[in-house]
Amino acid sequence: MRIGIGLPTTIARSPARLTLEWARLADAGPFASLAAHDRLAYDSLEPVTALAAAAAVTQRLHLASLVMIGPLRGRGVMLAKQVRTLAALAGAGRLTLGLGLGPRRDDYDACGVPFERRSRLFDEQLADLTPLIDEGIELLIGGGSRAALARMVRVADGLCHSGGPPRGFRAAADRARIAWSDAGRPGKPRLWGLGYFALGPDAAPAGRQALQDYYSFAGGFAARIASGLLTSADAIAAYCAGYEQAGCDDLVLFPTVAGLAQVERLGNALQGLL
Amino acid sequence: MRIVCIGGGPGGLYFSVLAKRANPAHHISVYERNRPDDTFGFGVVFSDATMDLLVEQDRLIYPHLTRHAVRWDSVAVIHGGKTDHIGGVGFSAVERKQLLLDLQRHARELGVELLFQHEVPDPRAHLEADLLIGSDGVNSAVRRTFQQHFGQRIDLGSTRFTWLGTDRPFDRLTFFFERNEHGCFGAHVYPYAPDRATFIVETNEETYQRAGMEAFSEADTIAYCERLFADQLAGQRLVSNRSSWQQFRVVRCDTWHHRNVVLLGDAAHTAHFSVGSGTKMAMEDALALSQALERLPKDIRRALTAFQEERRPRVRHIQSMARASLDWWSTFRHYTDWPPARFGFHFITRSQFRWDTLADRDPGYLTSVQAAAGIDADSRSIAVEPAEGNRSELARLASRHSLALTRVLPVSDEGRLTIEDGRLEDYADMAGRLPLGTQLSHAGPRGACLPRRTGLDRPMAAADAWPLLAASATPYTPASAVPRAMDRSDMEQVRDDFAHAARRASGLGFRFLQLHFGHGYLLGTFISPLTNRRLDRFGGGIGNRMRFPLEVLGATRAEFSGELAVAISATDWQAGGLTEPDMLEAVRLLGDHGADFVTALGGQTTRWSRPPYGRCYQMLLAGKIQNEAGVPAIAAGGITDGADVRTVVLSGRAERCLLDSVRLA
Repeated sequence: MRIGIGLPTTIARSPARLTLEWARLADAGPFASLAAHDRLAYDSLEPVTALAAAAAVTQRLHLASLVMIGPLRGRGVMLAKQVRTLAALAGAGRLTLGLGLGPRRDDYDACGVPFERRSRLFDEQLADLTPLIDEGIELLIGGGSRAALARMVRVADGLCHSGGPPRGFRAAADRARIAWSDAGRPGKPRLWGLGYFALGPDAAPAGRQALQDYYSFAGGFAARIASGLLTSADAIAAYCAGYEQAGCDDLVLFPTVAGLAQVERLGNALQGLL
Repeated sequence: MRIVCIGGGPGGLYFSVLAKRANPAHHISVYERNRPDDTFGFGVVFSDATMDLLVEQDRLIYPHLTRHAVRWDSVAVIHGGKTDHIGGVGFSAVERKQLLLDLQRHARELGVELLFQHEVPDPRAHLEADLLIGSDGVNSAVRRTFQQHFGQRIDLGSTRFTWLGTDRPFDRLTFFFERNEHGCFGAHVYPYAPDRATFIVETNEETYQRAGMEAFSEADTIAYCERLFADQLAGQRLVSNRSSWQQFRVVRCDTWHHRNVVLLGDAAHTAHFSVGSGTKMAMEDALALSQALERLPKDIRRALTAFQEERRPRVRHIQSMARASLDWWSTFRHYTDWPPARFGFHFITRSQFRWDTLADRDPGYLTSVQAAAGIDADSRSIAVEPAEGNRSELARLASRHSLALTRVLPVSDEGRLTIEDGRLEDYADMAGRLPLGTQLSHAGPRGACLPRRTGLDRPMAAADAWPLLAASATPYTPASAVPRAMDRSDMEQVRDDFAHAARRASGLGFRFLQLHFGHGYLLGTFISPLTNRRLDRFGGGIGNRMRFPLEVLGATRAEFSGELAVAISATDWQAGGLTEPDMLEAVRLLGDHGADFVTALGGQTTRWSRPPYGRCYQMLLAGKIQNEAGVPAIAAGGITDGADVRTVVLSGRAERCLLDSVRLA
């Protein structure tokens, strides 16, 4: 299993220029990948643009959108152009495009895309994006619903799980593997997982607050997500071990506190594991 | 905030208590048409998992409500004079009346306005409240009043049941099964106090009719059930409480809220009581709704959306388990003459439990199931060559399993899926030497595609592709080539191609042949009503839609001497697809025309199918093929190891299992 780090682009009030320093520092660290979340109606940075900036200041790291909300971006032709541009700027084989519907109605309302039609819009868009897979861009579908699994086996290389304890990942991964086999796809699906961390003195409460804020749309789940925040090297080690046992290929740990010290601390925590 | 709750059952009361405690400024009125101490039903059951959820999130009220709960951690299944105990299944129960009285007391103490014996003839009279809650049960007047907004669907279950109570002490959740001259009956017994239990009797429609229960009074029902279960009641009586024979009403709604109106509990959703209690779901709803209002006090509509988003996935999960369980209760007459151990295992695996989940709870029980079955389930698995083709892996699989199948091979060049498809002759040196079978297909509208490494159904360049065939001229995806609707000469050609391929397979020494009539391949397009739009004698009813597949089967059967299975998509996993009665009829026809086995695949008949992938996710279909249509079944789908094979085979749902080509973590 490879382990990557998330960008601080969806932490509210995080300075935008931090992204560049963060990416440079991560490129020098023990991480395999650098990834961005996507939200529209939130204090955040847009992921294609942010990843393009990250591509410009990094040499080595794999870049991933985990996951980009497809239907907010209209038909797939323009998005395919943007993604191709990003992939070309980053260099061969460095890009994973995770795409999903996202659960948040406010993001759809903000750009006037009818939430009720999101599935149909997504399917139409995916038809324009499938050629990317032939160009060496890894395509993932986000989520774990029946519809997500059906899309994954039809057009993608694998699944990006939405995070949470290894037990939940394992169940989703099993379903994904079964769907893959049922569809007669050769081999097995690529499986990406997520987690959230906040390391260092006083980081934990701020991190939990950031998650509560980011996931406030999710109701009672926000508290549960926040309570799963990884706040120590031991917790990170256990989380990584659980994901590895569940057959995760790539795990990305996202920050909840903006500050370069988080990159250093996660790097140190992972040194012991790698 | 001014809140009106219509319906003072556990859901409405619990919500009022939680909301009022969170914000004493709320003005909450609860309208209840009954008196405070009228109560219907006996006990309320909570699984350990529910207890954990409510205990974690409501540390003040919930523990108090359950202080008198009785707890047990095993289930007894009594059938054919034999009792099986299955451990590690924890439940608690409380008396429904006590729960209501406790909730009423809390509500009163907090200052919730409780209006008993108050009918609300028209809920619209309360629309001026900030929030109007319909917690008024399965026959919700609130739901009916705004039904065009909620999009309600109500299905009647095909069983008949009645709620009774008994004073006979029971120490755990117990299920009895009995037969008499009218048919077969099951009893669900849920103790809720040391000497009291809910006693639900359930039967099928035919038995209900034969026994003449339509005309039964409450006293007739009591007398009948006491006679039926005399041995188990050991001299104790049954008691009634508005106990009529009912059909379960499964309520589903497209949405649970409209403007400032929201449905809660049974008003919004029901699930057969054998899986989750309605009270439990209503109380979970109440908790989620009160939390959502607390979080978003200024925006009720967003709060209602958040409530629904949180609760709906869980409720849907319970409803899908309940659907499987209700189906078991409506078909268990097929199994009542089974040996008790197999019957019990079939029962216990009807919805959420499988071998692997039971192994953590009660390994001793599984040992007894294994011993009673006396069959080596591990010898019933069939391995399949990896999709991309791998002869050495196939040889390895054949050495470890009693049978291994090649990947799906085309009967002709026109029937290929891709240019990388294999040929029967690729296995010439292995087929006679190893325990091998093969699978034959014609790809139909899914043919002439790129290899599946980069996705499904991506068409080849038109210049390289070959013409496609299907029952009707519908392309598989918008990008796919349009297939030709088969004419008679196409049919004769395809039939002969199958027969010829079967002869070659036989000659090469394959001992087993599976014809692939599912997944939207050519023969599958005839069987599914979603893909067969023909107006001739090969389209229309299931008898017509099966005509060509049976012709192919007949021609193939004549040429193949070994065992022959036909794989079908036994469900389309899509609305409007193959119905269950049609599927059973198709299976019977396949059996009559020489299929030794029918394999229960599912979905992929169109690109819109949405299978509920998971472990053993199609085993119930195999069970129907084997036990309701009476043709030996092969189960497929999410069967990945020996535990899955034991779940399926020892429960009598299939003779054999096709193993998935993946390993799970």
